[in-house]
Amino acid sequence: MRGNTIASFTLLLSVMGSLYGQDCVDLENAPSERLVSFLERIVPNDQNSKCVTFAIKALGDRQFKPAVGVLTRLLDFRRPPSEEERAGVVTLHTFYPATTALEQIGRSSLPLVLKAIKSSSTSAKARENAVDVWMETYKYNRPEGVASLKRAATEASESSAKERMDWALSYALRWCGPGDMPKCKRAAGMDN
Amino acid sequence: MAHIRVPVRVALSQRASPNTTVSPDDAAGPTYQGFTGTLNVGLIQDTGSLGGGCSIGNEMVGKVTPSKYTGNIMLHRWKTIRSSYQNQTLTANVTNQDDTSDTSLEDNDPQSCSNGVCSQGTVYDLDAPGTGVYPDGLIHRYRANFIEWASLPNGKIISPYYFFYVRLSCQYTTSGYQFVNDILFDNMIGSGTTFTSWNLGNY
Repeated sequence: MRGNTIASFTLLLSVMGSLYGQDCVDLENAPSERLVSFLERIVPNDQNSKCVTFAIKALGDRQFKPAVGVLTRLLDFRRPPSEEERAGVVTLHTFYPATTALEQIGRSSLPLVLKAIKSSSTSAKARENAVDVWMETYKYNRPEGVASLKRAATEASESSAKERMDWALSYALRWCGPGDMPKCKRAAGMDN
Repeated sequence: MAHIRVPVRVALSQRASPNTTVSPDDAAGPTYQGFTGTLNVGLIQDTGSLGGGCSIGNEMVGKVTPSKYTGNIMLHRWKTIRSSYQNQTLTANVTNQDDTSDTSLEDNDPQSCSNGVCSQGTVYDLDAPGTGVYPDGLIHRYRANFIEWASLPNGKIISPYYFFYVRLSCQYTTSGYQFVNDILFDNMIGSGTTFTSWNLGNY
């Protein structure tokens, strides 16, 4: 009991520290469960965005499957620019760290990613990013990625969810290279 | 019949010549195109999600021996130095920084097939270093040296180090972002290292 109180207090301190000081030191060696708990409690803003980014990245690097829920919720969280980016240097690193983290976790993230695509409460950016995760997970077989999305679209019963899935299918095609495009279009049922 | 264990090795090379595109079997091509707006490598004016600026797109190619090896191979990039200038004024000097690509820009599977072409023992890493969105009319210069190498997922290095440089100058004009050729031998990528002074040690 006392242990739990101390743990909660430590977590609260780290959240407060993160909120006001961008000091993520307490998170650096934190177990994955604590990083998840940190992300679940926090509302991202300019003051804590560095620590939120740190926690997301750590969970992705550790491929921590229980983090999929909170990472899906943070699909539209935009990280602050790095020092290099602020200096006007091009870097090909996504501004949405939860997408990379979910991609690192792999296909076990897909059921919740699909739920995010279908849900009316998902923001437009989060939905785009969810499709990006879906297609990146199928990066070695993009036509199969489109085909599996099509199957999910067919299974959607509610008409608005069906509409969102149809949009996702057409958006997913941008991830198919020129040689894969005919197969992708066929898989999406858009080949005529 | 006796089986002989052959150590896995990777030979690195770089594709960045004019009129060259990302290899069709490179599974990371669509991600690269999303950022830069093109599948071309070499000198590119960025569109895509980067929104502007000048880059030198390059595709590191790792030829795996034995070519039938099926495990994943990781490609790493280290930036030994990057110097940035506005006209002739140094604005940043960064040394010794991990610059490894996000996994979405690497094709780590030597047997993967994309666009109807199979890699047959090749892995890839895409990047497009350069200057970003700066519509101020100044000349923005980028000079950097990199090292690339391949490893197994456990970190064991299985290639020689590949040293390469990138240098470019870019300016926003009424026609958009343009490469500037006021310095001899600027706007190049190649193996080896470069001077990182604004004038590349020419004067």
